[in-house]
Amino acid sequence: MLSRVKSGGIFGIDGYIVDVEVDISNGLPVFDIVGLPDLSVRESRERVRAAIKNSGFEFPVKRITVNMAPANTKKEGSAFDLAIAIGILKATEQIPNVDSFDPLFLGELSLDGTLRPVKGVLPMLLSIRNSHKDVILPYSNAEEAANVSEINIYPFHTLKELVSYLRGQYNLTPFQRSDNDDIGFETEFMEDFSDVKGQESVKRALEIAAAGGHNVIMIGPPGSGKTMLAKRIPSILPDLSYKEALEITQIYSVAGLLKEGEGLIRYRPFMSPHHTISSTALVGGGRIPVPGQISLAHHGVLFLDELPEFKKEVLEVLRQPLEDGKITISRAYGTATFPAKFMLVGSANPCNCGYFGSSNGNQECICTPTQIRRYLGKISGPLMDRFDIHIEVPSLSFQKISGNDKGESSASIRARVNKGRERQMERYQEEGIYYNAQLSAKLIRKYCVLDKSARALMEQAFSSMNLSARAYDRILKVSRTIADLEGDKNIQTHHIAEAIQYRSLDRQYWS
Amino acid sequence: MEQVEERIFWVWLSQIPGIGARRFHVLIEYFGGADRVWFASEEDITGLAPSLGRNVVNEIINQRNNNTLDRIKKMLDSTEFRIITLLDDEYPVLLRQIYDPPPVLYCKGLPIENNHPTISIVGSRRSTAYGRQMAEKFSYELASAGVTIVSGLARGIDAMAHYGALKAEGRTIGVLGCGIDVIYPPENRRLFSKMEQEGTIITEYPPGASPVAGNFPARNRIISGMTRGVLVIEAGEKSGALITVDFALEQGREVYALPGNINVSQSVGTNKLLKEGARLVTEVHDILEDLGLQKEKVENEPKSVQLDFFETQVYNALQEGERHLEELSKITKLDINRLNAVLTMLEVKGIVKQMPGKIFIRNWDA
Repeated sequence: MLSRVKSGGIFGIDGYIVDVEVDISNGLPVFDIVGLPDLSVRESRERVRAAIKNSGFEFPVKRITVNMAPANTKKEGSAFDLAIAIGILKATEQIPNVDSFDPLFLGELSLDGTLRPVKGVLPMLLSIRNSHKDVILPYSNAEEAANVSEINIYPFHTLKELVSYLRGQYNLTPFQRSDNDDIGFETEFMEDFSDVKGQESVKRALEIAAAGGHNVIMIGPPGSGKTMLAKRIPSILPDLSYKEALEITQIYSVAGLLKEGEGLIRYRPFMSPHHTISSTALVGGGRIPVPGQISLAHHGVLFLDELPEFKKEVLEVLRQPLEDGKITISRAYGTATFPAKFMLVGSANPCNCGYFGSSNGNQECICTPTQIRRYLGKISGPLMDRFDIHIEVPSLSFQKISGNDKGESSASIRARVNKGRERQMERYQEEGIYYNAQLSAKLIRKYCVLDKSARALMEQAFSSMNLSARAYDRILKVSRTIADLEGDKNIQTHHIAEAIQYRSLDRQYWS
Repeated sequence: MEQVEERIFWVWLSQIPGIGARRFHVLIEYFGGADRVWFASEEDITGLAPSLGRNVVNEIINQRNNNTLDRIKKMLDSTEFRIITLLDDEYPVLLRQIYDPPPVLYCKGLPIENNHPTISIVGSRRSTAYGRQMAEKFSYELASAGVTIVSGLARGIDAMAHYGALKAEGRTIGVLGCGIDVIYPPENRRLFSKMEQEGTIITEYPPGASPVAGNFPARNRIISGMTRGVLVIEAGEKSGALITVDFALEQGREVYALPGNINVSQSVGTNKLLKEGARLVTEVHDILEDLGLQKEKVENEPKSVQLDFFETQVYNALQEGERHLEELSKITKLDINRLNAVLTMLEVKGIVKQMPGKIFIRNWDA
């Protein structure tokens, strides 16, 4: 007997349909799987056999051949277990064949017949939502799958339960998301800016960065709180939209990082890889491509602590995704594209010893000028160019001075950031971009127009402060954001004047 | 004509590897002129082997060919740089008087004027903000009063000393420890090109010589030798500036030192000099007095700049010295965003300077 059941595979974040064909014929008892299964798929033979037996059904002592079409694509993962088991049960007529109901089966089987969750359910359903309408999957994946409203979701706990449903022993309505109407995003954060005393200058710069989506580099002596500040950036980023949340969840689903029962990621991610990370782990890769840290930071923050300590070639691979907002990985099995739109936050000591410019009575810099130049020089010019805002984080001695009054809460900063971001989205409706950091050179000329006095200030500043030419466009972008935060339609002189202060590393004394 | 000929042989002899200023003068005295070395018999030169060493003697003999001479003639005609020998009038007067004056100087920029007093300003390459500011200030004021400022075109204090003199549109001379066509340290490229236009660069090393560590102490003897006195701005315990001081004392020049914070390592050397009897300098008048010069009155008047209310407030907050951005915000009660904007305006107006680490300081010459 022959049976045919549908399942799905995933490559990158694109799903595709897999037809699982099961043929049972007389002969020596053999269980074979063809159609380029990898080891994890081949192992499913043992799981399927045990699960069928332990659920109280009969496993045929015959020659079983399973084919997975298209046969030229490499199949990976344990999500085909369920489809194979159902195929065998259909081929042995333990389940009736109903032509009108041809759902997709996804799920891993445990030996006792329990359905275990699988990776990549959300992106898979998103890619097939126009061609299929019913999906059967493990209960733990239900919340995640229910984000795709076009598809009827039928979740089950065990194989036995599923078989009795397929035998028509009871009816089921499609699964509904528990919080259908009000999605609600996480606005309470573990880390809040109100915990940070003083550091007003840094907070202001981060507020601007959050509003305009600008990449930031923080420079300061050890122990000045760079990491603490960076961790709080997600709490002031603009509120997450449903579309953004869905994109983040897709990536986490593929990476298998969704927590059990977590249907949707409701917060902006914060990724902080250690500086020993390889370039593959950072941007993604592997024999069958998996997303890297930059994709896991999609719509969130990628924080690279101690930036100069990262391997040079690791940092260089960041340049293209920073420009494109996505990363394309080509491997022998094919090419996968993962989204990677993130805010890059770097931190660095100002020099080897860490105390250059900290002007603190007890600790003084012991580096030679060459060492100082060489330290930040490890970061290549093109990468340095991607940082719109430079923040000098003051040493502890200055923080103490600035009083003990509790800092402003993240919520109230975020309220301003949201307003600023809304103005940008409105303005760029027709341009296909969302925030100021994305402005191209051409769009800068269009949207960052300076009046006479502002232009005069720019010119004066460049000649008297030895700013490098590359700073020009960055200052324009940042001052555009400052104006947006203030609700000003035009860039004023004082917006430019403030923006100039966020270009420390262009100053002569650093280079 | 004869003079020209002799210069060629001077340059030729000075460029022979293994012959420094001392050996040069010994040879000149022994043979009675550089041209005589050229024309001397091989036996006469080989006879010097016990004192000069085999290698140097061989070099002298090997270098006696017309190719070498043509190369030197070309150098003398070069438009890139000039060559000043001890025989020329342009040769710095004070430098003639030291024990081992360099026989030949390669020179770029304005001619050296010998009828003005000269002072050298030296200090650590690794300097503090205070040190760099003072180097610029003293250099500016001395140069304004007509003093020629000599320094080593190195990082830190040296560079600021040159900048100060250039700012005052005064005379300044930079002494290199490498060939005239070598820019070292590379980050001073801008300073080098300014010095070629508005100052003077000299070196005793032939074109192409690389900046090896051994050259710098010898370079320091020229810095102190050219001047009436050496002003040490900042020096660590083992700073190269202290080598210059040793030469200055040997050559009988005055040593001036600027007192510094006793907690800062860059002041250890200068404070030690003061303890040992160097002349303490707190204002430019202390030096000008020794040189018999008067301080120019003009430069102490504040620049006339228009400040608005907030700018005045911030400028006043900097009265007592350097302040961090956060401190300024606390003192002036201004929000960071407004304060940042005001500080940019003050920087553009040139009356406030920013130091690494968001520390702001009044610009001294305003």
